[in-house]
Amino acid sequence: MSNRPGGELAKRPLQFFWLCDTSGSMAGPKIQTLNYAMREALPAMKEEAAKNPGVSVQVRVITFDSDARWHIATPTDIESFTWTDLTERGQTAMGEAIDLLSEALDIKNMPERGLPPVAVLLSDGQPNGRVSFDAALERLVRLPWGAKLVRIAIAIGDDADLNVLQQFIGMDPRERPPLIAKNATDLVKLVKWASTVPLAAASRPSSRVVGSTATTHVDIPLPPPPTTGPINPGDVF
Amino acid sequence: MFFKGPRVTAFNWSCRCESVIGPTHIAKGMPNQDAIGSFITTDDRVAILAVADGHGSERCVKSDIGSKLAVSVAIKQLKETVSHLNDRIDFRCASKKDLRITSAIRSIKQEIPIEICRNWREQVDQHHRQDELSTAVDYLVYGTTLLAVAITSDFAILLQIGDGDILVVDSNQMVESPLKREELKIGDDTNSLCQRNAEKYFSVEFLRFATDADRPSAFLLTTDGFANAFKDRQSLYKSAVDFEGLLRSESGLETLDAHLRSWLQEYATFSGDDTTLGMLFPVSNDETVRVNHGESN
Repeated sequence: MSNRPGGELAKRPLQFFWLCDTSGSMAGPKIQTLNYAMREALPAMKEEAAKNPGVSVQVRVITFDSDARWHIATPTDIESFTWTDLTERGQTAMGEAIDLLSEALDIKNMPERGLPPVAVLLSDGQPNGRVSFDAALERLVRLPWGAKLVRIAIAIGDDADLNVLQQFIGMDPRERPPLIAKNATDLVKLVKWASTVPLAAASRPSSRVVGSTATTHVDIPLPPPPTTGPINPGDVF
Repeated sequence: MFFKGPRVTAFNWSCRCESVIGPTHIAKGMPNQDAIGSFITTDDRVAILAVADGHGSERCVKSDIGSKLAVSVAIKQLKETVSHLNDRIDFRCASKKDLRITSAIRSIKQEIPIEICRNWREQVDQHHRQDELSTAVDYLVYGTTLLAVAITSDFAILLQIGDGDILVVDSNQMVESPLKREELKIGDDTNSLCQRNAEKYFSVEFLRFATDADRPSAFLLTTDGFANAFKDRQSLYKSAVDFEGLLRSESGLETLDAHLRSWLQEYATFSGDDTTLGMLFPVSNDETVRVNHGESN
């Protein structure tokens, strides 16, 4: 076959962010289950990414407790991504975590050809860091890539502030509510869902008309319902 | 609409068009949202090419229809505009500063977008009435971009709303994008024919060819599925140079016809999107003009 015209072809990058609450209240079963859920979800995430050979999924992780930091700072190709266990400590600096996310989504740090990035926020409590959650979220959504960010939230246990998580999601609760994990089984299931379904949707976006009222051009189906039936009491958060 | 040309005199125009559905739409069970069409006069002296990219979102369920209508409207409009211009002005005799040309250019830039938007909406209204008699039409459902070029030996008119590229390769194999790129575009944001006051979001350019050297060697019109396959703009521009080189080379057209579809499928693998490419290029009077007509998908 004759040589294909044109220069180098390249996959379209898709930035995927986990924002994980590692505050003191996550100690014990919650953090253990979260670490387990992340490891369990990885094969499915890699399998989903492989379905779109033209997409390069690059994963990073932010943790937040007394402060926020990059747990995995370098955008890492999903094929080579491995999970490093989280440990818990301190408060819930969610605002700081969102500011770190904003830095990463600054237009100078993002590829022009990028697909809509995805961020999944997991938390069991309320933001109480030095940086205001509301202000940080406002800064995030004002960014061009922040406005395109597909935002998912998972509440871990009963004490998570669902209003805050809904704010983070930025959509009508009927379209995209926070996902609620009240036990280990649900957390594993929801982490797996969050690592695959939004990824699939963001890998295949449609065009978004400037000025349209559509809040998203990434259509994501509703997540699975909570587990019914008997639950081991030890698994309840 | 599309003709097999006779042996013709210098600077007649020929066309090649191809469009492939992207893996994204195959996975979603949707049709190709892109459309492409061309028109060349029987004497091959006037050529028009139009491409459009329907938005294909959950709300834009008829954008494949919208893109076909946009192509059809653009071709019709440009036919009328070129005919009107050629009737009024003899470009071979007119000086560079001829006020009729200046006035005509100003008029084209103002009126073509308005007419295209109006006619597109009328076509959409008509299509909507065929389907649903009672509800008001939602133009977003048919939303699409549009890019088009009309060329004669003396001038070219280029127009665009929304994403995609019009690449012009000059006689020195340098590549230009004469129309201003949408600065606002990141990711998959685009302007569209369905927007309110969409005519404000058009870019229109008039190129006059005072000498043979001014006349481009090729025009390439693509939907964004093409550009999104490339690592960067430089790699994209190289494709324009490579295609133009192929068009000029011996047996180049045969090679192009044999491989264009598979090349587009390769580009689509990387962009994930429907990928459409149309090319207009001059052919000499020694060549039999074989016109590949652009089919709307």
